[in-house]
Amino acid sequence: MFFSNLFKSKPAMAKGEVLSTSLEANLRRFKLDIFADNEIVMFRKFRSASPKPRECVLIFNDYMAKHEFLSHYVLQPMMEKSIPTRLEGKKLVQHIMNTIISADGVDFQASIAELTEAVLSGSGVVLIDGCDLGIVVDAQGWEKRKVSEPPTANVVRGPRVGFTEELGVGLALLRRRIKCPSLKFRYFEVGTQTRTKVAISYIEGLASEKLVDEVITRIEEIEIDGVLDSGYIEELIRDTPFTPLPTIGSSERPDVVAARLLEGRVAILVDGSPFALTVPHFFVENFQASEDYYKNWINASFQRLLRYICFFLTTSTPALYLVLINYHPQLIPTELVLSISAARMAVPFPAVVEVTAMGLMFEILREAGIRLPQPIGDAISIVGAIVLGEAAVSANLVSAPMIIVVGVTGISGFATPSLHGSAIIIRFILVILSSIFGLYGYLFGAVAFLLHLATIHSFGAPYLTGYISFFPQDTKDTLLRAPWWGMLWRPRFLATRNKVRMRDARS
Amino acid sequence: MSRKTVLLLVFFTLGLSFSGCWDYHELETVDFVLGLGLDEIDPDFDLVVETIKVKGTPETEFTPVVFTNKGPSLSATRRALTDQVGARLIWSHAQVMLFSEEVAQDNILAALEFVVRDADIRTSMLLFVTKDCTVEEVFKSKPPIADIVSDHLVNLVSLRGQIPNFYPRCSWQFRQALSLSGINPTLPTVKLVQEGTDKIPVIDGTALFKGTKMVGWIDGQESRLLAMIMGERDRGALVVKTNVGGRSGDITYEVRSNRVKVSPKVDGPKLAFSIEVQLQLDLSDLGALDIEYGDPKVRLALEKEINNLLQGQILECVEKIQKEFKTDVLGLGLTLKQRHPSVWRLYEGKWDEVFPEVEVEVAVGSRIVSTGVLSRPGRMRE
Repeated sequence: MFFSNLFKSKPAMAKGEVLSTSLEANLRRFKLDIFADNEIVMFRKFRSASPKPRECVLIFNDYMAKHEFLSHYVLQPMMEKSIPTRLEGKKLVQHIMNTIISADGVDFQASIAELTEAVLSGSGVVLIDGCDLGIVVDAQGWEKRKVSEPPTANVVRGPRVGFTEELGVGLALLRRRIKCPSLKFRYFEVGTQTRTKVAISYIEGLASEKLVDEVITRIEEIEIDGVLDSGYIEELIRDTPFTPLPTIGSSERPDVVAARLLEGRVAILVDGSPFALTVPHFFVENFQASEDYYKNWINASFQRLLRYICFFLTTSTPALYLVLINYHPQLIPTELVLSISAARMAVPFPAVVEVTAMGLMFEILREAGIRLPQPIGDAISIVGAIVLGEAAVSANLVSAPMIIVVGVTGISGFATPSLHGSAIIIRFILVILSSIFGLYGYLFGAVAFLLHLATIHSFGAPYLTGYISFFPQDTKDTLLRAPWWGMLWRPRFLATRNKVRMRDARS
Repeated sequence: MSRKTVLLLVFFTLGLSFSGCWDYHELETVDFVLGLGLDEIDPDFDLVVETIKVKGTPETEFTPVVFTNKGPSLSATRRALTDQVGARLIWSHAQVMLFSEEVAQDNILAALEFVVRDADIRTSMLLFVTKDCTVEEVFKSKPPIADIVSDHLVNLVSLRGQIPNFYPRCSWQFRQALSLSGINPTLPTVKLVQEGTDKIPVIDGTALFKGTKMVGWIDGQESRLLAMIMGERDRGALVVKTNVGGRSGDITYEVRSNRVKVSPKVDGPKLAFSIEVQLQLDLSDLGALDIEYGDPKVRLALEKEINNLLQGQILECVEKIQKEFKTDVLGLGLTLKQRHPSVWRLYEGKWDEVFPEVEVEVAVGSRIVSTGVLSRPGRMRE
């Protein structure tokens, strides 16, 4: 169990162990065994009012409970009122809960393990002399991060709200967007040590039952000591583990998650992580930005096409450049091939070495810049890029067109942030294939990538769902974003039971 | 290994071995051929090649370099040239190919065979015949703007709309005209013109072929008419000596569009062709001539003058080709073959004898559709 794993020398907490009637014995158990060397747990002894005062103790976690709340609604009333002596056990605690303690969330427990967990999660526990039940008072309160705009997904237009690390805040944010009672939450506890709260959320009648059951089974099957971020869950429940591509969506934005719930997906929120997961996740979703849906559909469609082009550029530019200059110079216009040739004249390395070295350099700059404090990070990566690039060209280590190629590759990678990591892997594979086999190698790589995409599944659904369908409604939100008045139906594959999004669709 | 992996590997290796040559080279180790030409093919092939020397640092510089070499065949000479250049030559960027007059008169097929057979050389490569100069002289001349002679020639061809005095042909078109019955090929002519101390290459006129041998030249003006009959458009100037209402002078028109219809007329044993030319013209320069061109009558008179002039010129040109060179570069036989295949069969074997004698009618209908931004002559105050 919990502490026996941590402190082998201490007496083990038996599973069914309950409180005794002696306050002193209980106190000893908590103070000397369970919470020994744990100075943030406080023990406040007090006595109830006359005529027959009783010894009581309030146990709480110093930094996780609201002190004022406990003083006001637990200590004060209990010290001011007397407890009838004739009452024992359950009747006693019910009397106290009903007439004395005026806090809103109260419960009673006999199990020492349950009480321990209550204290550790921030509740106050009141023990009374002569009673073998403890009263649990919800008094959690600690420093929280404010709800603010998520830094990973800025928008020009759209709500500026992001999840925080607080599970409750996340659920409230979702609930505020979908006020319908069919929005359901189910709770789980994952992690034998961390006991992290995990909630799944779905709209009943919209999400397919099979999908919900599958998510529940997969989460229940997790056996791990700790879950510190939703990333743990993501990797433990995903399909196709051997692919760099994301098969589970993640978002910091409640509006995005709400939109996915409305399409019949299931969301997974993890306490301690501002990133909510959504399943199933399709390839299309990597190219959809929340802003697409908030502004003019023509502009949004253009920007979406741009993202597809960017993905092509970021994966293929270096490979195609290599192919063209090393194998097929006849495909480049004469003036261009001559100027590239002039630029390469003094460069000692073959083009493939140039591409790989500069590509790595770009990724190094990016990686180094990410975790630096923001003002320094930006400055260093820009200065690094300019200085390194300029110096490398004037020192004839790389040619100037290569800087453009690497620049285009790197910049366009940022247009599809969720595919950024996978794009790097695909790019390097394509570069290697192209440098050895030419255009044939590139095509082979590209075809292999497409085949790979076609084999991936996410929670039972093919990864490429949406691109090809016999129903035009299904493809309206893929390459382009159809206007809202054109998207009458929910995606057929997800919302199997309730397909109608707009009233018009019925007519 | 699973079956799938084995299959994939099989496909990959088969694909590799069946997909052609592995052709890797670094860009800085190759040299690009931009133009080539032949000065002689008998007894030896005298190959001239224009390549470019590229300098990257500190400033980009392109200098044309001309190499010449002799060998028993074009293909062999090309390979031997690598020795001289010291770099692998890339032929796919060759834009022009020049033949000397001698080669054209000898047998142009011998020079062209390799060019159309080789996979690297493009069939869109432009072909020319040099007149009164050798290929080497042309490549070593100094064009005024472009550094590279091949570029200069390509630029001139792309500007044909304004200087329509030649009829450009690329290698696939030439080859097609060679292989089809009922038409003979032509090639534009490159000349050198003295300009100050330098000689600059210009394209002017046409070399006419009968089969694979060149039989004669026509000049730039006639070339324009030839191109017009062949359906080629131009936007060139047309100067017409005018005498309307007692006033005479030169008026310059610009051709806005031309449409030409060549149709065979079969009437029993009699064979004739009609060439109908329809022009839309812009009046572009009136000079000092003061005529009310806004008046429909005047305009009709102007148009009539143009029609008469062009009709005479085209007829003259066609007759020259028929009587003097006796080679059907106009493709009249081909038109007959396409419209009346059964009639063509009667003439197929003896077309060379029939063509010079066949009757050709020419009709020109032109219209002045625009007069620039002035609606009346630009008169001075009186």
